[in-house]
Amino acid sequence: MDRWHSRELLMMHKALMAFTITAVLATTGCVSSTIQQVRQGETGILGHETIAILGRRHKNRAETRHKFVECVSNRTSSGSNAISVIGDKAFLDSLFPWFEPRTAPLELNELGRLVARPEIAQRIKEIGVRYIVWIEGTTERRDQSGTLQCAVASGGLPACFGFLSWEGASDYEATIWDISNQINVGKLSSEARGVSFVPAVIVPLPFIARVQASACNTLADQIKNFITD
Amino acid sequence: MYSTISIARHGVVFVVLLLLTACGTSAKFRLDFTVPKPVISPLPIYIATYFPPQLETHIYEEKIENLGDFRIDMTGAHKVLFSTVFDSLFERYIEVENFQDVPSDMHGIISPSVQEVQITLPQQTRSDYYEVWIRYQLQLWDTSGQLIHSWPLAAYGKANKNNYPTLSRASAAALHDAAEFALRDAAASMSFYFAKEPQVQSWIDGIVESSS
Repeated sequence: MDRWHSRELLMMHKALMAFTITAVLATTGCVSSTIQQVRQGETGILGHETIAILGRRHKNRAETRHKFVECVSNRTSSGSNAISVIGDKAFLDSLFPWFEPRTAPLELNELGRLVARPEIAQRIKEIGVRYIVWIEGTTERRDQSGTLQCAVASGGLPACFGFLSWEGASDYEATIWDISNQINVGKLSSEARGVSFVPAVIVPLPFIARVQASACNTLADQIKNFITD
Repeated sequence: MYSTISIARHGVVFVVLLLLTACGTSAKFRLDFTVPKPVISPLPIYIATYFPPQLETHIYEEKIENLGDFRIDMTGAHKVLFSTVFDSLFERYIEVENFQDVPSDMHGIISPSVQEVQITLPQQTRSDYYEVWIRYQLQLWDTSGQLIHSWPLAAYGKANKNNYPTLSRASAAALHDAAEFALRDAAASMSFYFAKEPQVQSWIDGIVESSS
């Protein structure tokens, strides 16, 4: 009897898993990604060295979202070819106040002047940072069309009708500085496009194109390959 | 006994109320602030600091029409900011309760005060950002009581609303971070530009010359 119950539970669990996977696949829109890279110098990283992945925050508007930078850092420091990454906040705190929005070097020659200061050189040596990866870019929602209206129908149950669609566009660029040699070793870019839509007949069914997640994954993989190649 | 329809109806009302509560923009919080010790070379001067009570117990309060009540308790935050920066910026630094307590070996006395705090919300600027501006006034005297220089220090911090979950207390969290970024900005500005104020620079040059 117990064996029969556990078998039934296992089958229910499998069915639930299959349903969840199907639902996730069905509700994910298609995303197309484009990656480009320009190499300007040799790269390589030793076991004890680390990289800092930072979002550009000097612009008044359209700063790189912290969530995206965090996503790229997490993905770069995990999986195959993983590279040790120092967290954005840990790096900024270690070198405070030299990488704040008002003070961070925008050009490579400014980095050279910064690293020439003995106290900065000493701190960089202590934390073992070899490369700084600057990430710039945004994710935007474009060409939104259609309408979707929801109301509480008679009987108190909500119902939605309509169709909504938009294009998601993620454009990100990573510039990699080699601190040891004070050179710009290259530039990587990741673009992702996808159309999301939400048809609704009583129940809205969203098909979301996860462009930012796609851009994050491709950019992180590119960073790993670029630095370890 | 409740029917299924009745339970569903109550559920809908509950969810709507929950969403309305979660989407309110009012924010009230205390700003617990710490700032890293700046990585800078100290200036060769001995400075005493006097923190006026308004700086130590500063609270920002504003009622914004149609958007709610905002209260940021900054008690202690400004003092943490200046004491951490001054500790790295000057070769020797002490805090005094009043001007009569300044030891004779000090070169000068500095006193910061909060002039103004302003916030803006994404709903006001039609942008993605919660923003905080802080304006301080700094005054520097020599030990004879003569005012060397008085100058403003402006600081700015912003936080992108998209970095915070929509159905949580997003405005409080975002404003907290924007205020923290503004205080870090003040610390960065102070570390960088204190000795670049012309009057301050020539006063420091005079001290260095007389001691060499």
